[in-house]
Amino acid sequence: MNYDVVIIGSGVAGLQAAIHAARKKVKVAVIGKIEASALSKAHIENYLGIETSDGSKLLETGAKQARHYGAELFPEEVISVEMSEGGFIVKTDGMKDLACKALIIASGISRNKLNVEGEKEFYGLGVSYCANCDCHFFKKKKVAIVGNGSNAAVAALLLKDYADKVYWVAKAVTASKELMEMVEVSSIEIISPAWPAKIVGENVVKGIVLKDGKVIDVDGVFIELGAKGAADLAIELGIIADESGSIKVDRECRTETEGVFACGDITGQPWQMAKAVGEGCVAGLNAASFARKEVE
Amino acid sequence: MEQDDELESIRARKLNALIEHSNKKGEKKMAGNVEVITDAGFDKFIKQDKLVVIDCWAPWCGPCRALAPKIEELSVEMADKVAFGKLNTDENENVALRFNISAIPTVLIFKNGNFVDRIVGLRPKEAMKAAFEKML
Repeated sequence: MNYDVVIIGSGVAGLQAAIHAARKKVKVAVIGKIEASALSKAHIENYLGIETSDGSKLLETGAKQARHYGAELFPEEVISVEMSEGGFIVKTDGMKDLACKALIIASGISRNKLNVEGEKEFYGLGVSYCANCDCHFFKKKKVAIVGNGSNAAVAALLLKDYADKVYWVAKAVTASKELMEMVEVSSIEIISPAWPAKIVGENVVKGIVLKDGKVIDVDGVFIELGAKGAADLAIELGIIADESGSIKVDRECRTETEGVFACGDITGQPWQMAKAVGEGCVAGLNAASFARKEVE
Repeated sequence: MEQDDELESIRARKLNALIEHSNKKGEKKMAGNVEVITDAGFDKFIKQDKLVVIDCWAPWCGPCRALAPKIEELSVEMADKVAFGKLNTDENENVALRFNISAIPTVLIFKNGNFVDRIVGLRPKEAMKAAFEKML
């Protein structure tokens, strides 16, 4: 599937970018679940011209507007991005490959902490937030992946090639059908509905205690909550987020990698709708111009 | 055996992709006063009069690549007080096993040859500097 502009994230920044890019008559795809946006659960009362509104209502209207101008919306999660000849390839948990000339990262900031006892104490001593970075420390060991969605499924499928045993702990599995088909024929053991109450160990992780009191003996705990974070995706494009997880952009919303734009919460504070919308406009227009080779 | 081959192939693929990508971006090689350490040279390196800091990393780890230039800068700023080294955990598993490293980047700190602390994950440069200075 070929597009001029692919937008990762369907919050206000992504949808505003989609509206402006699509109005420049380029082929636009937006990947993301509206209900996953932080705004969908928020109440708006500080946005110019709108006295009060529910975030979800505003996003639904925005999605309708983006479609009206020709953008295609895919309610899926991105599992990887890579550079290709003449642009980028975005892979989704629905196993779609979307090729594009310009890419906009508008997927917000990651909130990936589990906030349970032992998580902080054992970070780096068995607890990890990056399956790609840390899988090779768990060769022939036992690990648990904690998370509900496709990101957790991808981590479990990666870890099964390294670890002897992979448990996947989820409140309710919400990964895509395609990934679940791969999980189901693998040796991954799903423990659900379940959630960790604490991570236990002595110097290093020895196990997790679930809320129902059951103990699972593991050497590693991979915490993979929510969708794959924008900072993680950016790294795959050679863009390094700063310590706060923000991506640096210029006034044109360009990142340090040519053809990649970013807007919204991922570019830093203030995490406000007005700022996200403004940046979405700039990123959408500039990504469309880039795809049409209107800029050098 | 088959699984080892598969692991090797995954690792080679990841590494090649990163090298290719780094070359495309014209990424600069690490400078500063950071010595490349291996399993073999590790014990000798940590036995120094200076405080010793070792940045444990792997090529495909994005946060590690973000940390590297900060360590490089600190190695210049703190050259008279701290000896800096970097160790590729994928090629040097003994050190990783010995210090129970399970997430990278991990920075190991040694004083008079003894392990004193570790810092896991990407941290601001000034926070790292303060942590090292506290140990002096």
